[in-house]
Amino acid sequence: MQPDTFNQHNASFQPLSNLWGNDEKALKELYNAEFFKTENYVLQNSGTPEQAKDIYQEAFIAVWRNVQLNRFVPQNDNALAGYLYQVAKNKWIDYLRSAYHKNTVGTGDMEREDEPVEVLPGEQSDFINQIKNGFKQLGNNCKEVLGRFYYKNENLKTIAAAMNWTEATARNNKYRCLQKLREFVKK
Amino acid sequence: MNLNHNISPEAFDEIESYLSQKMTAATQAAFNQRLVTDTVLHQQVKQVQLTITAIKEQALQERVDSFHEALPERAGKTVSLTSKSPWKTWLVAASVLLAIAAGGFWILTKQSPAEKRFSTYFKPDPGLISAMSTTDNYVFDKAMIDYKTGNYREAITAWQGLMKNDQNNDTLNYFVGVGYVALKETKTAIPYLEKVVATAQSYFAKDACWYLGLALVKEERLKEAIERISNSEHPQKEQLLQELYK
Repeated sequence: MQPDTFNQHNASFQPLSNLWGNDEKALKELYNAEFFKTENYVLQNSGTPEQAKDIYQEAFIAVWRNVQLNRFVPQNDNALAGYLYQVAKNKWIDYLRSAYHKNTVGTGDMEREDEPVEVLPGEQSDFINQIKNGFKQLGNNCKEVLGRFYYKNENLKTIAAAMNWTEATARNNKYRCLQKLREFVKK
Repeated sequence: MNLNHNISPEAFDEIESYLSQKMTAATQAAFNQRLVTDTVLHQQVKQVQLTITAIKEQALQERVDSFHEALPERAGKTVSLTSKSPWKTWLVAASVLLAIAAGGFWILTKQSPAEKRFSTYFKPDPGLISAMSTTDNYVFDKAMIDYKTGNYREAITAWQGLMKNDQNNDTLNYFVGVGYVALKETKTAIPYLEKVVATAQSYFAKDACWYLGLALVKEERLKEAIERISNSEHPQKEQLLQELYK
């Protein structure tokens, strides 16, 4: 076991802290950082603007997830942006080489680069997908509480005030919502 | 790994505060010690970490389209006149074919090895999509259309006009540079592209490395060319480097 991998943030790297904390400004900056470069790459290699957008958003979420899970700990902005571009490029190459395309689009000398992060184990990836699907099916109150607490980093006092609850009720409701989410995980 | 533990509210809070580094150093050290020996606790921490990540990820996924809509205008790229005018593309392609048919043999036989290599690897940068919707960017976008239809000289003149007020603008330096490369005026292109490469944060830095490398190949400055091409991310970089190392 490697317990220290659970919280391995690079404290000296502020943008990453912002990303980890879901600071929207940092997220948008990262999104902007490599989009057009990725789009150029996709357009130069048989893709459309819509496909460039889809593949980039997929890569963006994948990179964000690896940062959240401390699977990728970049030392600076450039490393993070470079990794995002690399993941997006690889995803596009994978797409072109997929069964659907391999007979129609040649990938010629497009080389897939090794990524510094291994694929998330299947059971963990499945778990995340089940929770995400569960979240979509939650009632509005649960979505609101969990979204405010985890995505917007609001504390329970603030959430309680916004929802017209006491802080204790907010804490209980948050826990009940988490229990509901757990019900969506296949046993 | 069991990821379906029934975790009490207190345990959940404790794990959450561990993951978000809100514990004191001493408490965190003790928690780390427990993690080494307690397999169930380790699984619970993983379960909480994945749960929180999934919630945040779903929330992010619902917002990511708004990030896309807010992309900056520079490359904002909403309408491409050239991409919506297939006849223009056809005309450019046809004129290229005619040029090759008329003079290709002469060019191939008269080129030096460096020029041949340059011609083999050079493809013009596709340019940015031109919105043609805002007055501020009108000159830039109009020049971009010139560039994309092969009127490199006109495009360069317009962009150099804009550069009078913004000499270090990486976008302008890049497109003036690649415009000169497209005209095969590589000696003139080099200082523009060097300026972009020197701006490590530039969106165009890696692409500038490729075109600068090609310009240096044509100028037979191979050592510098290898260095620049090595720093590019072009799909053909390894192939070209192998040729240059021979």
